[in-house]
This record gives sequence, structure tokens and C-alpha cells, in this order.
Amino acid sequence: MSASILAAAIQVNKTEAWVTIGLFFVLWVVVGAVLKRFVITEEDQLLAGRNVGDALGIMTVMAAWITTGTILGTSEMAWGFGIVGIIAIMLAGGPSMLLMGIFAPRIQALMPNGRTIGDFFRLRFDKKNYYLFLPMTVIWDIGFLMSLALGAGIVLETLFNIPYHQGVIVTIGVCIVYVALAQMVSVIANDWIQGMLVMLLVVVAMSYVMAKTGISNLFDAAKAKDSALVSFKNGPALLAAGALMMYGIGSVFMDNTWWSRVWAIRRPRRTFVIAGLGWMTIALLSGLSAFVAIYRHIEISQPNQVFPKVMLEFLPTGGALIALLVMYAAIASSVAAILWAVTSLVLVDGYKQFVNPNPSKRRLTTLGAVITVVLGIAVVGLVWNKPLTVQTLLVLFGIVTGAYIFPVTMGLYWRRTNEMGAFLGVAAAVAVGAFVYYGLDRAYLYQAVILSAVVGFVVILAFTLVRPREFDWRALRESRFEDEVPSAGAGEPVARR
Amino acid sequence: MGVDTFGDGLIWGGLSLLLVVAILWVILTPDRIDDVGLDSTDRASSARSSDTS
Repeated sequence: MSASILAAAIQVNKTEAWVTIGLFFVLWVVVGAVLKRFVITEEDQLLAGRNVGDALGIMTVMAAWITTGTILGTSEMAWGFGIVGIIAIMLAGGPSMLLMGIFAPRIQALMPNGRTIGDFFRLRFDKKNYYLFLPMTVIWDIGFLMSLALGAGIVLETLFNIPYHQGVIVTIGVCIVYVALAQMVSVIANDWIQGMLVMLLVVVAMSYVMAKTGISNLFDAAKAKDSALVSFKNGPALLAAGALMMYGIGSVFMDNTWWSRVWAIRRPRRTFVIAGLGWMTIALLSGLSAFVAIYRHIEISQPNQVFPKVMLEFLPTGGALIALLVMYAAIASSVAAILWAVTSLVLVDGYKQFVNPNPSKRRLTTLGAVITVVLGIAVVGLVWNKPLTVQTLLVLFGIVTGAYIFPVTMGLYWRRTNEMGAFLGVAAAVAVGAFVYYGLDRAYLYQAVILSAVVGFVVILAFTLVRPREFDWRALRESRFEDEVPSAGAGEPVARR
Repeated sequence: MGVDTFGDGLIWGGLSLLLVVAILWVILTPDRIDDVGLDSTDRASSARSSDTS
């Protein structure tokens, strides 16, 4: 990190920052330790007993999806692109949650005892799709984890003067400990704490800020600075909005984080919809902080400092602490959620599928903890030398996530969609996206993401129409835990307890 | 970013919107699943109906 960026860092008491992180660590580990005794069955370990209520459900979905990108990314986009920049980030995370809310009842009805998204690809399509999907989703998740770890290190360094490597180790380390302790139960419980913290702090703090400034003044100030900031006629921002929306939709559709929550939550439709609306509210408020910075003529040397600097401007005594709390809670909730999503995939679709189909509960719990620790250490190693930038890394994976939008959508809704179409659609989509980015021009990253989704759609649709297959939906019911009996009704939980 | 004009951005943004329309088209034209004893209500709603029946 260059000296200029360090010099521009927000002046926060380093001891205060470490004490805050330390208190978080203690709180989350205590929650994990207390909840450990409630993890009795495999279903508890992997899906929190399929019994998560609305309040916990909304927060776990929202907290897992809110990252530093939601807050710092939106304010950075608004600083550069104005109103369309805010909309771009809102589209990156909002529609994906709303669509997953629409999918959720169908997923539950088709696979009432489902365990992972791997089950869907294995049972709905065939082995070649399953074997292609598993590495793709694990690579995507590890890439997402890398971007979160990288973001954590950079944010803590640039904003709070905590050295990059220490920031990465502490963030991943804290999450490893509490995820390993009570696994999915621990992740969901801590998500609630983290989600509430982020929601309350951002909503209350930004409401206070806007009450002081007046919303119309913000737009007037932005217009006076540059009329493009309040105009929709912004080509680069529209491209970014489209690509980020595809990236967001694809990454939610193909990520076990969200599928496992569909099975863990009792009423996922309303949960995902409310969480999506809440997520967009956070993004909107964070984005408006850029207009506040313009209105108050706050000096911004690095665009990712917009939100923390606005907090400092209006709340000089507690602003830095609020920014730290929000950032750290946002980072930790997502890191923990993805850590556990990958771990459960490795357990169910790796260990149980290929090594030992009937492990003891004790062995599975220990293995879950070991995989979480190994994965966390691997991620720290992968981001040690700061590969790429956070945004580039994320969007690059959008080529893969875009490819999986339609295999998931058509696979859930159309029985005619066939395995060869899904396989070739994904392969062609990734190949075209990679060619556009690597072969044509590195400047075409966003276009590559959109084209990946387009090619996937066209190929899968063509195979669906030309070679329709009458898939038997009942095949999807084969997915269940060993301690469950097949569901006889319309999808109620059937675990033997 | 590879796009300089509003028109280019509109085309790419519009293409993404068309893909969302395509997703909605698939969702709104589902193959029925209730013929195999499945339905598409929330699990909690199903559980509640079984409790009360």
C-alpha cells in the first residue's frame, strides 16, 4: 500500500479499532460456543435444522449479501457515475434476491429435503453437468472469499491504519473460529447480530445526515458540480449496471450460500424479498453519502473513503467507530456465510458423495471444522500478495456466474430443458466470455459478463426447443440426509429427531 | 470500460434487461409439478395446512 494512501487514511485511534475487533471476536465466538450444543443432527449442522424463522432468516440473507462493496462500492460508484452508479449497485444485489425469493417455494417443493445446490445439478441434469458445476462453484466461492478477504485487508488498512496482512488474518481468523464452532447455526445467529448492526447504523446515521442536509440540496449540489451526476444519459454507467445485474443474478443462482438458506428458512419467499429490499435500501443510503460529500465539499482523495469520511464529518466523535463497526460486520457476515457454503459443499458433494456416504455425526462435525480452517488459511495465502483489484476479481468471476443463470432457471421451471443443452450452454458461455476478455480486450470485462449470460441463454434455449426431454420431477426427491425419511407430503421437514 | 457513448451503454444495459425478461418468461411459463404430488407453496404454509387438517 503506497504511502500516499496511508497518509490519506482516516485518522482513527488504532487501539480503538483493535478493541472493537476484539470485542466482536469475543461476542461471535461466545455465540458459536453457546449454540454448539443445539447442533445435534447432520441437518442441524448443515441447514440449522431447516427451522429458521422470518427475523433470523431476513437478517442472515441480508447480512450474507451485504459486503464492503455494498457500502463502499455504492458510494464509490455514486462518486464517479452519480445516480446511475447508485442504481447500478442496487441492480447488482436487489433483483437477484427478489428472483431467488420467487425460486424458493419451487425449490422447496421440488426438493423438500435438498441439501446443497450440488444435489440439484446431480439429480436434475447428469454427471457431466455435476462434475463441471462442482469445480466451477467452488472456484467462484473461493474467488468471492478472496475478494472479501482482499477487501477486508484493504479497507482496514486504508481506512483504519491496520496493516493489510494483519487485517486479512484477523478477519478470516475470527470467522474461522466461530464457523468451526457451531457451523451453520453459528453463521446464522451471528449474521443476525451483524445484519442488525449494519442496518441500524447505516439507516440511523444516514437518516441523521440527510435530515441535516435535506435531500433536494444533495441533488442540487451534485447537479451544480457536474450535471452528468444526476443524468441517466451515462453510457459507461449503463453498461456497468447491466453487467453488475447479470453478475449478481448469476452469483446468487449458482451459490450454495443461497440455496442452503432456501432449505434452512421456513418461509424463504418473503425472507428473500424483504432481504432484497433491505439490501437495496442500504446500497441507496450508502450511495447518497457521495452526494452528501459533494454538498459539504468534503475532500475525498480516494473514492472508497466517501462513506467513512461523511460519517466523520457529521459524527466527529463516533463517526470513525460507526464506519469500522459497519465495515467489519459487513465483511465478517459474508466471509462466514461463504466459508460455510463451501465447507458444506465439500462435505456433502465431496466427502459424502465420493469417500464415505455414512460418516458418524462426530466425524462430520470434526471434518466440517477442519475444512473451514484449511479453506480459511488457503484464502489468506491466496490474497497475501494482493492479486488483481477487488472489483476486477469479482467481475471476472461474473463470466462463470453469468453462464449458470439459465441452467438453473430453466432447470427449475421447464422439464424439457436437457442435460446436453445445460452442459454445452455453460461451456460455450464461459468460452465466449473468456475469449472476449482475454482474447479481444481487457477493457471488455463488463461486456464479457453480459455476453456469457446471452450465449448461455441462446444455447440452452436452442437445445430445449430442438431436443426436448421430459424430465421426471420426482427424481429431485432423492436428495436427503441419511437421518431423514422420504417426505410424503408437500415438503414439510421430515428429519428424525 | 470499453464504452464511450450513451448509445453503446444503452445497448448493453438493454441487453441485460432483455435477459431479465427472459428469466421472467421462463418463470411465468413453468411446467406443472403438482401432477407428481408436489406443489409450489412455502414449506411453512404446507406444514400449517397439514397441522390444521
